[in-house]
Amino acid sequence: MEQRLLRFIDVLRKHDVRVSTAETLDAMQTAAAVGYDDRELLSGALSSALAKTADDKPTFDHCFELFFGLPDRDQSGAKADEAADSTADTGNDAPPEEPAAAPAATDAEVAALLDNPELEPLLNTSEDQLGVALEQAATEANLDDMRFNTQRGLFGRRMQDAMGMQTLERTISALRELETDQGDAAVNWLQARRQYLQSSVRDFVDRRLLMNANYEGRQIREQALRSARLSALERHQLKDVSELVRKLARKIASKHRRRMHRDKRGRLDVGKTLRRSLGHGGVPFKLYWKKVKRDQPELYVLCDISGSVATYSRFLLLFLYSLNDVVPKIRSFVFSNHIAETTELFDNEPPEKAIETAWQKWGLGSSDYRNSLAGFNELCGDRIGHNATIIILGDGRNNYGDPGLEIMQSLYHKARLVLWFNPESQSSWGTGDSEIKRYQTACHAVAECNSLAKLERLIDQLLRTVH
Amino acid sequence: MPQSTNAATAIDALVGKLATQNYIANRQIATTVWLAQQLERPILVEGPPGVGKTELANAVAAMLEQPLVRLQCYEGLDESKAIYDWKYSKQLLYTQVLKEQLGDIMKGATGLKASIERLQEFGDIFYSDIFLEERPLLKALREPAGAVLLIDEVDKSDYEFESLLLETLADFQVSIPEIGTIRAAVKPLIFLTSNNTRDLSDALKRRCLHLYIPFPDQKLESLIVRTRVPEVTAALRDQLVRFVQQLRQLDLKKTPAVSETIDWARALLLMHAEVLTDELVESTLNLLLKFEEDIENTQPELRAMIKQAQE
Repeated sequence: MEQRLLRFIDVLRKHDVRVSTAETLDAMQTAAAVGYDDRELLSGALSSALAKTADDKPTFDHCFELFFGLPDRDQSGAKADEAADSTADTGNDAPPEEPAAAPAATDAEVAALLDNPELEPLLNTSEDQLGVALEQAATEANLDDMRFNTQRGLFGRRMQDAMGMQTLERTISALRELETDQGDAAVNWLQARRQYLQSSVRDFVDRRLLMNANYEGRQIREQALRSARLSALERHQLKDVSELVRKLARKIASKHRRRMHRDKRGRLDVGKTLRRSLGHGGVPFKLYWKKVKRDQPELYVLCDISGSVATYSRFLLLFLYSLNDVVPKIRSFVFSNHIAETTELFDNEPPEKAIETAWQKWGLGSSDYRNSLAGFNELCGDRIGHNATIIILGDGRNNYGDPGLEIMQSLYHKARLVLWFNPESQSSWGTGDSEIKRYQTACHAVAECNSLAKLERLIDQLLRTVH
Repeated sequence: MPQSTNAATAIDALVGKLATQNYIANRQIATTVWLAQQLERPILVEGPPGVGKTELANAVAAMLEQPLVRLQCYEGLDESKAIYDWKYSKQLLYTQVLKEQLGDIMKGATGLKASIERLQEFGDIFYSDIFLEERPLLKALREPAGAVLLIDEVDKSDYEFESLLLETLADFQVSIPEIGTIRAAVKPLIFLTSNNTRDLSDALKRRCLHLYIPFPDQKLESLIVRTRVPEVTAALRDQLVRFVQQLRQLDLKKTPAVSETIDWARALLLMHAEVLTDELVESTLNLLLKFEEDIENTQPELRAMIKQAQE
């Protein structure tokens, strides 16, 4: 059973539930404490030992269902009773029920044929043992190599071979040749048994395909999404990307969180404590601590939400707001022909909804960088200082208008860092109405940013410099 | 087979015992608590606010007849407030006293070397138990008959505080550099609660069993109200629970929690209500919904919901 549990944990991992070795040991202890018989109890107990976030719980339930998803105990119990009443009829397509126990074989020859050690694991009626046998056969048949729907038959065959189904076949034909009543009864029983086993194998293979194929498919999809140009995404992919963004954000967050916090209280201020103690005759009643003063870095994000750049803005904002516990205070702005602050909107609403609202409210109109920059300068120009990092996301296409370079320059001189993320590929910078080459002179860095992979790298670097 | 049966009986018994403490637990909750006792693991309890996370720790403490030691987390909480601190003022006073006593101690010692040897013999009580100020974690570990330790809203604490907790969570001990390691006499049962305002570290999660308490379903919530406010008539109880369950389906800024259902039931009781009526709901809705916008947004659907609740 332990092997089975390990396989289950493997499946959980493939479904993105993070299970550490320590937790694996926990799960073993847990299972040992509650036993394997009560499925509901086992599920509840393992869930508390293995699925450690609210998001993981449904995934866990799903995997548990797939993996331990044998028929309900009550149901199978009832079926077994039925089967005991009337000999199992094996002709129809309905999932065959587990045959009743072996008919008593008093005939020496029949008993001798049935008493075959190779046959024993196949005839053992306990579900657990069957599970173990299936697992073993799966390992022998390299079932994890199965990728496609069409391979089901092949792997099913291999599984059956590995389980020693041929021995069963041989025994059946040997029994038939005996041509005795007891022999026929045994044949009937073995045939029912064979059908039951075959259907168990089929179910097992199907479930395994479901578990593995999902995982493989998802991995490939995520890889593709990460390097795809964001503007090329279809509407229905947005949800997947949002999830991926959140996943990437979590990864980056855990990397940077550690460095963010440092001593806040500081050490005992000996000088001050002694000085103040003079008033009490040198008895230091009150202690003074050195305060560590740290400037809170500020992040200003300006996103162009006109036309094709909008998709990128969407993901930049989503990314940054998914990082809310490592990124310092963000003030966000969106612009097309004038600027609007969205900080409050994002503070109050979940990112996706906030983005939709911002889009509907301010997304119309063609880009006017000068007007937007001037607006920004008016709103928070005074506050930009040596803590401020400004990120502008836009293509720098200003419809041949005044780019407002002098405003950018004044920001550039005041702020600690001015970054420009440009979704256009480098080759098209400066062509047509693109002013990006001119803006480049007033930025610390201009980076091409047109896929999630690039966005991830940029934000990683950004966090390294900001803290 | 007997193993599962044993576990199942123990868990059912636990549900019953918690019920005598007025805490209605579902099987998942009882299973996790039982496992925590068996495996000696802390429990990390998550769930929306007001579903009884803190209450669970209270009930378990009362059930085990052990003291509940509570540590409320907040930003900036550090070891001197959570684990231990030195009684600085007393230590400083002690040095003053020592200064006066020094003459007696040093009597007869001549030369620097002899004095230092004499000082060595003199016990070092500056950093000792006498001046140790116990904070919740240490207190829970030192409780002679065991205790239930509740670390409330651990997500509000800083990231590095989580690391401080790890030693206690994994090995039931704390290390004080000046004294050494203090182990728990009796391992306390530890509950951590989190409202998920931020992701907790994997290291912390790894050491805990995880329990997610969702909003209860109608049956369970009805049972909770019955236990908490037994005076409410059955008819009213069913109606008000059904109404709250419907409210939770709406998009609200703050979804009403179980604690709010109970408050509402109490309020309705005070108003001698027998059944839900439109006026009654409208005049008491602010007990359930804490934001003006939420109240406004539900207005259009209010009548229909009350009607459905009355059926």
